[in-house]
Amino acid sequence: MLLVKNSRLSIVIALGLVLAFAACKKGWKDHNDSTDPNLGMNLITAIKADPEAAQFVTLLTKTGYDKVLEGSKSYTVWVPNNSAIASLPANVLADTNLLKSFVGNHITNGSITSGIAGIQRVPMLNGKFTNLNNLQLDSASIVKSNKYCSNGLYNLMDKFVPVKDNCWQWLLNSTGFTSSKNFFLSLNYTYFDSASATQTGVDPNTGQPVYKPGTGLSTRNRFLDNVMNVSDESGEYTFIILNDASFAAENSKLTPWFKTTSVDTTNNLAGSWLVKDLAVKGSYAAAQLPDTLVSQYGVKVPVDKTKILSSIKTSNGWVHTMSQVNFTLANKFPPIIIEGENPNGFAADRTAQLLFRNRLNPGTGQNFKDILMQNYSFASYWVRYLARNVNSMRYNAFWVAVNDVQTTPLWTQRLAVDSTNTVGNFAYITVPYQNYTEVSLGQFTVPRYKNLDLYLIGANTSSSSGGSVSIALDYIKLVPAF
Amino acid sequence: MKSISIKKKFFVSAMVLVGLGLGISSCKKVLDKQPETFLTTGQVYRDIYDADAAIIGVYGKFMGLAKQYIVLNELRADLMQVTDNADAFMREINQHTVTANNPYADPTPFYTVINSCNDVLKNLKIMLADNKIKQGEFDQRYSDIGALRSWIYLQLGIHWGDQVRYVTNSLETLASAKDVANYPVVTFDQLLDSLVNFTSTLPYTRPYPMGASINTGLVTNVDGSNTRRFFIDKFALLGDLNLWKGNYNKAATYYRSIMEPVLNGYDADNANGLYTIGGDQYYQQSRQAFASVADNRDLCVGYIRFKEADQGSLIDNNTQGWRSMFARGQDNLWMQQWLWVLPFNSNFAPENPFVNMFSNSGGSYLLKPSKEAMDKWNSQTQANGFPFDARGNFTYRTLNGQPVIVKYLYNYLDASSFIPTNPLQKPGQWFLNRVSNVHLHFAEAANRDGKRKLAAALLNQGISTTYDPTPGVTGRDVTTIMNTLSEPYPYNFDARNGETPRYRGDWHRNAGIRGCARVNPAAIVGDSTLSIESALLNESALELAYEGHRWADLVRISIRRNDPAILANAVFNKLSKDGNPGAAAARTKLLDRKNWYLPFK
Repeated sequence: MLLVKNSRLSIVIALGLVLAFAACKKGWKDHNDSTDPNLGMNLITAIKADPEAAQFVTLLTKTGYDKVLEGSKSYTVWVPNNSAIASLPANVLADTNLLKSFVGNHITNGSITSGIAGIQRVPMLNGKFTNLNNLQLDSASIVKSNKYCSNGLYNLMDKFVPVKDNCWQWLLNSTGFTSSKNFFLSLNYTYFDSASATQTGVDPNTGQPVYKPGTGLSTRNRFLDNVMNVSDESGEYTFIILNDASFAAENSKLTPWFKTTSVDTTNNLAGSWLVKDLAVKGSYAAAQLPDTLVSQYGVKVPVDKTKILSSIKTSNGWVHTMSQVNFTLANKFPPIIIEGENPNGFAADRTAQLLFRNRLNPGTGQNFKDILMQNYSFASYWVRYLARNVNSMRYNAFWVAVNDVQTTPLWTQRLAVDSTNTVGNFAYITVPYQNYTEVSLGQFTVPRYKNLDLYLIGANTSSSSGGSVSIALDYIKLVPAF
Repeated sequence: MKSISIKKKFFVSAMVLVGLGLGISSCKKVLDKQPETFLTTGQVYRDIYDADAAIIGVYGKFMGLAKQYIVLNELRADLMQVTDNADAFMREINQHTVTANNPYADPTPFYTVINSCNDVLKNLKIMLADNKIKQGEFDQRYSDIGALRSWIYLQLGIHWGDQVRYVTNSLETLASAKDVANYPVVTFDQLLDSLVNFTSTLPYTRPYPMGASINTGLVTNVDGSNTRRFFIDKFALLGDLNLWKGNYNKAATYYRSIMEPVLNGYDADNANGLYTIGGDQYYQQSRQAFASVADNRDLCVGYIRFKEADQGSLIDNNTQGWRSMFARGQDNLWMQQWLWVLPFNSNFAPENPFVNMFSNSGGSYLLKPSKEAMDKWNSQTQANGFPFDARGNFTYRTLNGQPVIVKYLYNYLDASSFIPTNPLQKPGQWFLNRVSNVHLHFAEAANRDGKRKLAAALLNQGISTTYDPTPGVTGRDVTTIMNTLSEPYPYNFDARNGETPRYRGDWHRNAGIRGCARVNPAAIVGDSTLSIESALLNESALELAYEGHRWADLVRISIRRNDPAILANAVFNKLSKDGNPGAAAARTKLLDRKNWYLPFK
């Protein structure tokens, strides 16, 4: 076998030798070796060597960030050039904390390449986020990009990026919007966090930890917690702040629908209802604002640009102060829908007769869920529903109750508000066979803002067969009548 | 040579010398040892135990086809779709743009198993001639492996069409494998003829018999699984071959053999009397029995009794109802439905490929249900008015926001949390055939044989209800209703269920495929033959999705009706509903029958 392949083998050996010789030449080393001297030094050395960065280097040294940039982690630095630093306000230079935050506003963890199209939100070392888009960091242009060093890279820019307040900080530092500001501040509350509290011992009776008084307490805000966290640096928001006159005008439009026993409560509720639609996700500059914003609750927010007093770019979006946001009441108070399959209570346990169903509406082709109970042996059996935070106003009531189980007998059922009483409530209505449309029940008035109990009540007879005593409900709809 | 120095020449010569030395020394007897981990031909096929081992070995090899089988039969058709994780080859299969090097379009793995079958068949004959096994033992084993080979050839025909090489000789040597004369190319029709001829002459068509004790012969317990449903069902194969061929009466006759289980050897384990007349197994084995509404110990879609209209009462667990057939152990209920299932054990090769294909937790999640498939389930209405087919809920589930085919994952995922019980252990089963498929195929054959009402009965609400002019009335004399006894075999069914006089016909529990699934009967409109056939085709999708029957069903019915649009439109609907830009191109392509087939190389 070997003899036959002899000639081929020789060629292989010869080729191998040629390759071996070639590998000894110096050319390969030249070809593979890096020619960039920067790669041999770390960031701080490289930046120090760049004459355009001299001013920024002094700030790095002053704030101690020079030590950080010597580290083994990688960083990306956007260095404002000397002329940019020259225009730095004196108060920043004078205040160590401000200066540290300013320098940190130009450094991020990790290697981020500039010059890539598309907005990238970069987390800076001072906790702020800045938008990087192609060769633009915020409003500064990158003039020398992506200088690689052993522990990251730096860029040189024609301007610095000032440390801005976020939307929430801007409101807190603002002057002249007292009503808005005071209202938002009134939503503050004190929160106890056991993780940050100092534990001093354990209660011998309960076994619960005992904390040092005054520790673990922090201030939180209900608007930030529950509506929109406009103090979050990583996102972008558009936040509308009303001036005193318009805040009062809109608030007074809402107060009649929040009647309670206390003026303060009413004002607080109306104010909350007003401001909940004043913050939306996304960064809209004045020029980009549409005629109508839609809040996260689906409420249309009319934006009349002539009523904008000022527009402020913040570190996490835009604040627009306005002299008017004229909400339409019908938009502010959408109909309340209570689904039949979400009951809150029953007259008695009838689990065996309780059916939560999947159904097809043949008219619309849409699927829906509903509740059906039959033959439950209970006179005037009721299913209770809870409508939360119902306003003090008149409502037109509708329901969709589908009987698709029997053409005869047809059953009757009624809706009761606040109590199961017959007097003062709606009368019994026959549920026709296969009616999938909304049935108007009439009007009722809610005197005070509250959580409202609604009762779906079956016929006032008891039966365990035949289906003559039944109740069904797809949903109840309450439409404000103003 | 001249350019090489003397040194090199010496080196080459040395190599040659060493080579020669090795050549000479290998002639010495001291090194002439048999390999320790391989058997040579003389060491196997010595007795019945070797024969059984060879058969189990062939099935072990056969299990390696599971992944390719499902990809070809489901991903080519309309119910399965690739995910973003799928590789380029799966995408090609999905949109019918297969290129030459696609491993899923390679028939070689099928031929590997065929070659093993041929080898076993040949040696079984030799063993019989040498009196190493008895005639009866030979018949059972030869028929089993012969049928398995026919089944694989039918698969080749379905996917490679007129290009299949029909090899029935054992190719033991390299020379015979290289001899082109051993590979006659046959058309699909010729292949079907050959397969029908060969398979119908097999001497033994019943399941392997069980001895006095269960642990004899090939029917035994292996690695925690019983092998009763391990082997191919030969009646079902013969039915299928004749159904493809258009021999409808013959096909129905073969299927009926399965549907008369007690006469045909499906009842051997009758230790507890369940298979005697009156026993549950007797009335339920192979009969697509109605639901046990009181306790839901059945394989039907069910709800808690008297709360049938409540969405929360759907029976959705691994021990009751329709879902449980894919999850439960091999108990009596399981035996009633399953005909051919190969278990994957996490402790042994071959590895279960389905976890990797389907699961998004511990698997690669390569394949998912198509929108078209979901629409099929969601366009059904259940007896309680719910606007969806619950079989869809059991076939796929939304897990972590992704639709996951769970039919194959019930042994891998926790029954209620759907998190893997143990991500490192991937038990599962390859579901090859079951009674519902046989009923649908029987109905397909009966429908074409002019027994349309019977076909519709087996599809929809069962024989008893269909042949009853006033269903639901009690206290009648049912002597003349609820049966088709006036029909000749294989269409004579007795489903009578009455009290005075008392009747409990063998088929009184038959509920029909849709009756068992609690969905309303499929409407029969227009030409009843075509309408019923289309309804059967659709039902096969709803009932048997992802069990490897879909592509074959589409091809068979498209060929029978000479209407490529049935297949082309099905694929088009899948691709277009999932937003695949190649949908229209695939439709145009598939309107030509020769494009249904994969390139044979």
